[in-house]
Amino acid sequence: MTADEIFSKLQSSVPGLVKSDNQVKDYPSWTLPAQSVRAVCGLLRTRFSFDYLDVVTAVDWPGSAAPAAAPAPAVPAAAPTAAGRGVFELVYIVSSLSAGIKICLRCEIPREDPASVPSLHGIFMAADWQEREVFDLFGIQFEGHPNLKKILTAEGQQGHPLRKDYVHVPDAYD
Amino acid sequence: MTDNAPTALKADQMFINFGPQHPSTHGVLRIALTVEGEVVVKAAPDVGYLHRGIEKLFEARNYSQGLILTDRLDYVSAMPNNLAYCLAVERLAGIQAPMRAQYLRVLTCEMNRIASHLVFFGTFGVDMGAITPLLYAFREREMLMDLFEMLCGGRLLYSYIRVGGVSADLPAGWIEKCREFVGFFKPRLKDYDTLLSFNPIFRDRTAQVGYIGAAQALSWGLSGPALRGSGVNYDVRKAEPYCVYDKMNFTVPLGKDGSCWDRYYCRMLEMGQSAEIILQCLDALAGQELAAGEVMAKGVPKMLKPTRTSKLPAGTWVFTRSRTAACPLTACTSGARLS
Repeated sequence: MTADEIFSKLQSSVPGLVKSDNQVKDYPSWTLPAQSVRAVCGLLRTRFSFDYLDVVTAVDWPGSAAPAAAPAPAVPAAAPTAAGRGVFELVYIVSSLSAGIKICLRCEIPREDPASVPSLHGIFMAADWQEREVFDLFGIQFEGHPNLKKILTAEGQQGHPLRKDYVHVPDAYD
Repeated sequence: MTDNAPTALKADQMFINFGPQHPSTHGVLRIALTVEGEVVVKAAPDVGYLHRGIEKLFEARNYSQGLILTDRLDYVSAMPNNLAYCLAVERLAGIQAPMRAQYLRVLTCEMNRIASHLVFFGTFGVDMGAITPLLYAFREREMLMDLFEMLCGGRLLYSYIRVGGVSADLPAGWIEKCREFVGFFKPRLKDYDTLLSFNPIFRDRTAQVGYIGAAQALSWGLSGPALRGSGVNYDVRKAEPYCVYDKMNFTVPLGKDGSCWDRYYCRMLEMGQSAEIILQCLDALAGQELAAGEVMAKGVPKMLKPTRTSKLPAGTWVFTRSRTAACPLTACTSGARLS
């Protein structure tokens, strides 16, 4: 079964699932609402033999919102537009190693505190640490994750370093 | 990160903190273990002791400067990290490396695979009390380090694979020296087998422990020999060939039951396959088809920077990070609005 066939089978049951031109390598790329990520991954896992989760990561699109440390803009910020939006984009790559298909899933969530997205816990074991890493570095909550704790940064570290508006607070090592 | 202490232990259980924590020791990983005698019943790994924030460091560097950071991702295996990074940048910038460079990339990556697996083989023995294999492993690895040094001057951190190709073609006499190494190395694999792989004490301690089934290995997202040790036939060099791996003739060693020994032995067999790939690359490089000296794509600037032709709409905040007198740390953010 090709990625296109899987897409057409899923499309009817998942509103908002659309193909995207924004590809990673030559993998088919789909965008979908954040609330459908868990359902789509569950279907891919059980019905289409997608047994491998390559990547969970995120991109911070700060959009028109000025960072706290920056000077106030001379002109007031326009309403967020398609590219000037303030969002976190979650990027997943899931694979069916037996069929040789990799699919890139993307979803956007509002860039606010706390930003959250459903966890893939229980579908792919690999989601455990990858989601913890995204949580640690971007501060995105994964609803339903049983052990959502910092994984890489030190205990005392403040903030989430891969956010574009992250400001480093000097510590004992600086 | 550290609150992995057990809440309740049975009478015959013990809690042990396993692992070196000082940043200068190798394998900086803590595992909070609950054991019953010699059987581990629970293990909570604690990582991050060597997290260096390399993604963050990339934010303040252009594409050419970023390359040297990739050496340091895994300092016993720098070549493949150089390559993965360069392939990504080349894809972004639409650059195609010349064919000779592609062969050199595969050649050096496979040499580095052997060097890296030799460190694994040697230290795995040492960590279990077998000191001799390390001396043999490092003898062979030293020969590889010498070859790398001839090629690019570096013995550990190479930055040899560059965006657009590689930094230099092979020096005179290098191919012969490399063939000499492969001729010496291939029979040594038998030595390793008699020395360690099939040593009864070693087998007793590795062959029936640490089972990971195929389904479990997939779900946990294991990759490389750790995945293939469980018998899953997936190798990215076969599934999504890059450079000239599609022209190489090699097999993918697989384990049977996913034990600790299977994962170990996959790596040992991989070294033999790497030696075969090296010979095929050397044959191609010594031939007439690949023009000597053509190892860099034309027109690639020494300093490859992101283009400024941003399609972002006016009013978008663009972030740059810089070292200035007012802000001596790299982690200073300044924002500017596109007008």
